[in-house]
Amino acid sequence: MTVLNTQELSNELILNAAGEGIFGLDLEGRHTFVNPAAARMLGFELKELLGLPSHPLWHHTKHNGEHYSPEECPIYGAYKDGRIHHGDDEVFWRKDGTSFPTEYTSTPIFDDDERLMGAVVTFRDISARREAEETISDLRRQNEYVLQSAGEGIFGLDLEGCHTFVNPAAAKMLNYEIHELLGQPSHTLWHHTKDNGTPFPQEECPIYGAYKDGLVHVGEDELFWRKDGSSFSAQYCSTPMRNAQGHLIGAVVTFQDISERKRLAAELLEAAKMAEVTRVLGNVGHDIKNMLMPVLTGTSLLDDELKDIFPLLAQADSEVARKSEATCTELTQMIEHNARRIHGQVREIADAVKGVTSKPYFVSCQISKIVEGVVKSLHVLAKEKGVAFYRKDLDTLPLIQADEKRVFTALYNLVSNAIPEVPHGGSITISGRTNTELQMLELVVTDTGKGMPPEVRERLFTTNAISTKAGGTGLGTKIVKDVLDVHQGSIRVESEVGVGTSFNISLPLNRPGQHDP
Amino acid sequence: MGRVMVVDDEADVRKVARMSLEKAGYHVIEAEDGEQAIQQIKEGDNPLMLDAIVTDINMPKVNGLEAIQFFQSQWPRVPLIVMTGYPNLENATELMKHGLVDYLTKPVDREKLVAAVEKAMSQRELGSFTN
Repeated sequence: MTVLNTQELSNELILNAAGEGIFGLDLEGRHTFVNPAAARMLGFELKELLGLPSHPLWHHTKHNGEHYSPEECPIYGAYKDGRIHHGDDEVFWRKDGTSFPTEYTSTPIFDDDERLMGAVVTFRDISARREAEETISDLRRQNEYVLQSAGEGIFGLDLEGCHTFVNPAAAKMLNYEIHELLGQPSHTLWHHTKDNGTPFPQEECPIYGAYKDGLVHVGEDELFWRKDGSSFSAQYCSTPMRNAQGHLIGAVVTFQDISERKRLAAELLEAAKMAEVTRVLGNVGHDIKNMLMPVLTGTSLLDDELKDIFPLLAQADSEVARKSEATCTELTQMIEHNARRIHGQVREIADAVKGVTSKPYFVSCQISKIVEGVVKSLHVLAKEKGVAFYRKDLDTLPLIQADEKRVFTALYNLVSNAIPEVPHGGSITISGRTNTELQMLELVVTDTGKGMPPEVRERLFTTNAISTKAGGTGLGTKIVKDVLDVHQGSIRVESEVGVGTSFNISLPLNRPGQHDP
Repeated sequence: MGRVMVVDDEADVRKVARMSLEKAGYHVIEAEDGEQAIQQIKEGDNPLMLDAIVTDINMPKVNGLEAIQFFQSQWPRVPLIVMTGYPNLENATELMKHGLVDYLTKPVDREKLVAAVEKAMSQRELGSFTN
């Protein structure tokens, strides 16, 4: 076998075995040879291609459906201008009329005298690659969409700790525009100070830690600082980012503003504490009421005994006996008076407990009757203090749907709180009117008392209310507020130091959730 | 004059209730709880001679409605008066439906206790507690 023959044979073997399509063209664009891969990809038999011009057979139409004239064809261009032509955005057409995206190279061939004699073309079906590219671009779009729409803040950091990307949620929470963050170091911008007010050294920053030690760092509750200098509690996760070689290239950080969650948790804890306190208070109250019974009834019995026994004394008329009887009466009255005061406070506590625990019980109520009850219960105390009660426009008020006991409790508390505030000779007025527009009944409790300074007014209706009453629990206005909350009513206070205080109560005419029949 | 059973786990409460009622002319038997109440009646006394029961309903052994039902099953014809440190309107209404004569809130005033027992007596005389 000659050298030439050997060369030809090996060429043939290569052509046949190649996975790429390979064919030769003469100066007319006709196939001079075609390898099996090329024929297979195009769906032709070898003999259907050899000797025939390539362009009209499988390169006749552009991918957008337009006619592809042979003059434009870069494959033919190679043997026309003697240069290598390359294409990766065209389609080749199969015999069955379908097409596939392709990447090709058309290389001119010259004879020994450097004259063009045709071209050799190699090509590949790149549908799989295109598909992969599309998948990648879909994924990228999807990732982008996730980043854009995520409620969590998400950003990337490079090895210097500068933002490489920032999603809108992150920018919004930090109160920056995205472009103000990109390229800027994160730590000094919004992670610079700890919650105790001391600086947060960058070297300690767990967020930066991720791209330093390659571990995931989680922060349960740290302060992130907004552009305006305010801050919020954040929970974050900083995950190291590596390139294909496994080298650290930065970190991806996700974070959430947890201030609302923290506030709710604190509120729940507060409510749970409150419930426990009221439960204990309720039990204590029960015990005290039990213990008061022997005290009160015993005092009354003792008083009777003394009244029975004194006249029977041998020297009943003596100065000593009379003085002693007077002292005994004074003492029994004192015991009774103080026992009743204890009872009053226990009742106040019990009302507060009820405000937290018991279910409301709605019935048709006549406000004037409830006010009458309140005035009756308190008139002795008012009289002692020289305070007059006035009632105005209450008899004409319509019936309302309400929890009678609770409304009584609320009014009782407002009025009994007012009495010690009113100087001798002052008054407390309870007036009412119907607001037909809002379907509300409005009650005003006005006193001519000392009035409240703003700091006392602000803390009204909370468990932190300040009691100015000697020995008061300070729960009174909180009880009132609880009652109004149950009725979906409202309370407003107007007060001026030295002039007096007005509590304006609004109660719905109908039970919340129900309307006129 | 009538005989009243006072049931309460607190000795001092029983004592003042007894003294108040005795002063009003009633004969009083004390018991710490339901079991002791039965014991007291069994020990030589005639149960038919019981005219009213004044009882707490928050006691260690029996509670609320249970206590009421206990006494009603023991002595169905004897009117019941409840004393409680846990006033509760719904509870009271419910208990009243079960044939309660009165519902008193602790600390119970002497006058109110006597008035409630008197009311129970008059109802008993009217025969409203004969089954």
